[in-house]
Amino acid sequence: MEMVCIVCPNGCRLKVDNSAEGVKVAGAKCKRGEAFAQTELTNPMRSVTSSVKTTVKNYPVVSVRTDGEIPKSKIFDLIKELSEFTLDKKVPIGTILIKNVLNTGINVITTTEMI
Amino acid sequence: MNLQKKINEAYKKLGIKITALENDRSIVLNGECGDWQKIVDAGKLFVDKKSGKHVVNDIKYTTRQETPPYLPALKDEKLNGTEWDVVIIGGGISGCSVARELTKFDLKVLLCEKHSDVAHGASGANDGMVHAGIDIKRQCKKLYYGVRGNAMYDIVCKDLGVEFERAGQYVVFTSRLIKLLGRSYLRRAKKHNIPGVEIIGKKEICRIEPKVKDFAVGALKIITTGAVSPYKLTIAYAENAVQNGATVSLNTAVLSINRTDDEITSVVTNRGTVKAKCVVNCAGVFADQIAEMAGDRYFSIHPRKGVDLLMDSKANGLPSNAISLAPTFKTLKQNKNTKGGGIIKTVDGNILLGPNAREVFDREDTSTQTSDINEVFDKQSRCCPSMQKSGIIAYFAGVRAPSYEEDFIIERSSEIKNLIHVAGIQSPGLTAAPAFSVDVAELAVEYLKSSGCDVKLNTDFNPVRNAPVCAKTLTDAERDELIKSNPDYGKIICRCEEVSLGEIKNAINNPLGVRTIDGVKRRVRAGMGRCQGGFCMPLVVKAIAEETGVSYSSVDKGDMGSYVAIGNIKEI
Amino acid sequence: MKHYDVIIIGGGPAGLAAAIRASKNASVLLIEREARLGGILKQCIHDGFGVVRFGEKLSGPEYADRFIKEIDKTNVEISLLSFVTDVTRTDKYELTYVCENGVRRVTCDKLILATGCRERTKNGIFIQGDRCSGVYTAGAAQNLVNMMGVMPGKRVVILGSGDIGLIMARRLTFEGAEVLGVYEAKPTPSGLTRNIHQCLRDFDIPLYLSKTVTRVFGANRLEKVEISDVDDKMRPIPGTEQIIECDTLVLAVGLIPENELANDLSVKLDYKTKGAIVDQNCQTLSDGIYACGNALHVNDLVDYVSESGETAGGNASLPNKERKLVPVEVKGKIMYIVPQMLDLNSPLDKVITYFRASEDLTGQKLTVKVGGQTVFNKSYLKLLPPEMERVVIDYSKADLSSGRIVISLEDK
Repeated sequence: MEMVCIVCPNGCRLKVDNSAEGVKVAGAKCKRGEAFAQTELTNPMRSVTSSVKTTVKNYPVVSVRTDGEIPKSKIFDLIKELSEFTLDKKVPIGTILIKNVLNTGINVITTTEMI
Repeated sequence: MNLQKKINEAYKKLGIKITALENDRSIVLNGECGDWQKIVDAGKLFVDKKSGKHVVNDIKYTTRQETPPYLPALKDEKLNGTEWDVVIIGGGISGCSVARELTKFDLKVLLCEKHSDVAHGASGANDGMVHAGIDIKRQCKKLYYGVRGNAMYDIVCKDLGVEFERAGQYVVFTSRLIKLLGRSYLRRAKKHNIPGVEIIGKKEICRIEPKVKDFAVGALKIITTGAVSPYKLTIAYAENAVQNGATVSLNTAVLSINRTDDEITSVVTNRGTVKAKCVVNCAGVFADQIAEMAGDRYFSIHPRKGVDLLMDSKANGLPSNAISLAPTFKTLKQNKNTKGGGIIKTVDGNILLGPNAREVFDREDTSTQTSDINEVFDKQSRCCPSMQKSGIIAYFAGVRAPSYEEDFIIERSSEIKNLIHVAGIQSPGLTAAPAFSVDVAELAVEYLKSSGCDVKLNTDFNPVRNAPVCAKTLTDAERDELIKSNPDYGKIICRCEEVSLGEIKNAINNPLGVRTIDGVKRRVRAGMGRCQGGFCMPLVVKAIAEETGVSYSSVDKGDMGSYVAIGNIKEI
Repeated sequence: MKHYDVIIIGGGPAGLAAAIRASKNASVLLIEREARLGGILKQCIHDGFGVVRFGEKLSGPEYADRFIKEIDKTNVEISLLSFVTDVTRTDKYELTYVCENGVRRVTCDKLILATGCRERTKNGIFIQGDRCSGVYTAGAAQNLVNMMGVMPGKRVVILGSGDIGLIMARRLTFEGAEVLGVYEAKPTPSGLTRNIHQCLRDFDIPLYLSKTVTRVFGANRLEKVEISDVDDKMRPIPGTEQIIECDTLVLAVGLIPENELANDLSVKLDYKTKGAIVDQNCQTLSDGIYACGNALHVNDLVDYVSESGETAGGNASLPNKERKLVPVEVKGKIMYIVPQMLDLNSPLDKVITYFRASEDLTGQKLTVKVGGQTVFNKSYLKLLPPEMERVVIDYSKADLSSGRIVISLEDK
């Protein structure tokens, strides 16, 4: 099967051969592409960017992201979690807002410096 | 008029079976047809200049029903039970200028406009040309008020703080014969007291406007032609009226009119029923429907759409003057309902092309079609072939409100004594408004006096409305001082048109209470530039919300319901 | 009037990089229109920024923050909420700008234009119909959602498959909107392939090619749009109209370098990039004026925006030198190249050259020849117009005065 690697903007077009002997990947410019194909076949992972509401002046919302990848299937659970969160004070960029979100071992961090 | 002859003619030419009835004021047509253009053509057949009777065209359009008119989604009692000397229906240039002229008298004046701002119809969507009147062949109200109105523009615009430029206009002759015939314009100008009309030679016109050098043999130069922003003038009239005591009620639609045999008693709106001693019908494309509500429908309005194109001021190949081609025998035959538009220079220095003219069934359909854009561009680029289509940055349509007689109807009704019609106002309506509004105010005052009212002058009347601050036109020193007085004038919100937060706040706090994005755009040009609001629209929403204490989602683009956000994210 | 060696207009990624680099050798003033630095990155909260530069997938604000922290350590003067109203060339450059404190005038020897780009609008692509609300450029929609925290609508049609359109399709989906489809007039997508995958495919958002929006309907708010198929010249085909009910139309129909100031200064522009014509130092044909970032040409990666900013900032901070400019010619299916000129009096060993193919191509060879002699070549399996390519060319060993410099793209 064909696949596009989304790890970096190169967007390598991968040829993935998934047979009994294992997964063979061709077309990747780097090793990350092979790893991507492996997980994409078994348990696709994504990092997620979104925002949370705040009560801070001039910041109706503040941007956040996961500090790593979570299972693709959990994206909308995460989105729901985020919509229930309200930030009530200014925090520095990179502050962890939700630790170990959805038991993924991944944290949700802010990505905007609130000045 | 021999009606039977006309009926036969309609059948022969248009294939429509019509019945026609004549009464004191009108010729009333009935019948059925599935082709709107033919219905309009039939109406035109029955125009009788001699008797001065109006055509009421009731031929039914069978293809589809009329789209219901826009009504604001609002019902309250704000105006209920209030009493007024004069109620004006419609907030276009006619209604707003009449309101302002009426405030010279000590009267209670109410203007009802169903949209969220004045100048929503044709007054907000035309080319802004202040005509000299040279195109009008014989004496009529258009000519009478057009020529008088033109002469009043300098003072009116100065008083109302509206930019006005009398840059003149050139009608280019493309052949010797046409140039020869052009002399008839000179005779006409003399006869109709239009000053400053002359014929200039090839050399002169090519020097003034090199873009026409390949085909011009001369031109008619008309120095009194000017340009104004039609909606800014309308807004200014309305604001000055409000300053002088009039009430402008927006989102207020007239739903019906109560009357006795010969007199209107009250006007029913979505915001309550108001008592009116005198009513002025300035309802534009709906003027005949308002007349009907009063039981006084003796004329018909047939909507005519026109599209204008706005060119990017930085585009290549644009002319630097208002120019058009003199009509030839061929073009004269093609379209009798428009002077053929032209290339116009707006007060903001932009080049505008247009308009075309298309009879349309829907009175409020201001949508544009690709064919309109092509028609206007192809036609006007004949006058300036160097223009490129890629230079078009915006386009808009307006629906004119002509009567079948193609003249203004400005008179007190002969049947309903306290109803004054200002109807059939189309080009040069904008030019004529300063003049006819004075007469309409007089008509109202005369009537009120005759009905026993003691009408006094408004001794506090102030004709001057200060022009809004426009920071970018100031000198650096003046601008510096302005910013020091209020730092908001130093915060640029609209980068394309260089509009500051201070100016935007002024626009938000306008005397008419218009709190919309379009309202800001028309008043201070925020969002009118090359990005068309892409950058500043969210910032304008923010400014409106903060200034008026509402949520972002409560801010409308224009009319009620034209929201830009449905609510906060995470909450829907 | 205060004098600076270098003044930079625009505090987005290009301007920030230019300012940081220039400040190593020069006095610098950075003029930014908004209250905060970072430009459009402030609202680009999605990730994927900085992969080339930092080897990390940062969000836009994080990428900007790295440079903002950096600039705080320099002696660059920053004037926020400041808008340049006039630039005049004398023996130097005189700038007038307005800010909260009044009208300011300053002078500089070198001027760097880092003014970014703007979006094409509905009028620019001739969509007809009503004048209702509900039609947004992707950038405006992004601002509403990511900065103001409000939703434009519930049922969304996106016109244009440019990256911001794709990103917004996912973003609006996250916030509960139903994205009915992304429509692209071209026969191929305009955005990066990875964005097609992670923004559309991941969420089953359909992508329709060779279709465009031809008309919008709605009395006050958008109610529906008309979609038409287009022919190979991208003209709508009558009879193919299809109506889709929606309350929101997002336009991602392309970006145009913002070059008002460049125009005012009569800087010569490249009609293909719509940005200035520059040499390898990002200096325009007007001595002392530089252009970088998206004002120079629309980039798809911010990493290269910063790179060109650094190139401009670095060179602008050096003393004036007489230039000897020669053109770089283009042959074959290349949409454009930057730089379009080479200054033979400047270093020529590492000329960073960006180019885009003019159509989807496979099996291509890029060849750089000077006077017929090949000085550089590179093979490509696949080239797509949306994906900008970057090569570093060493001209130092070639005799550039001997003949024409030609960059060509040919079938392998």
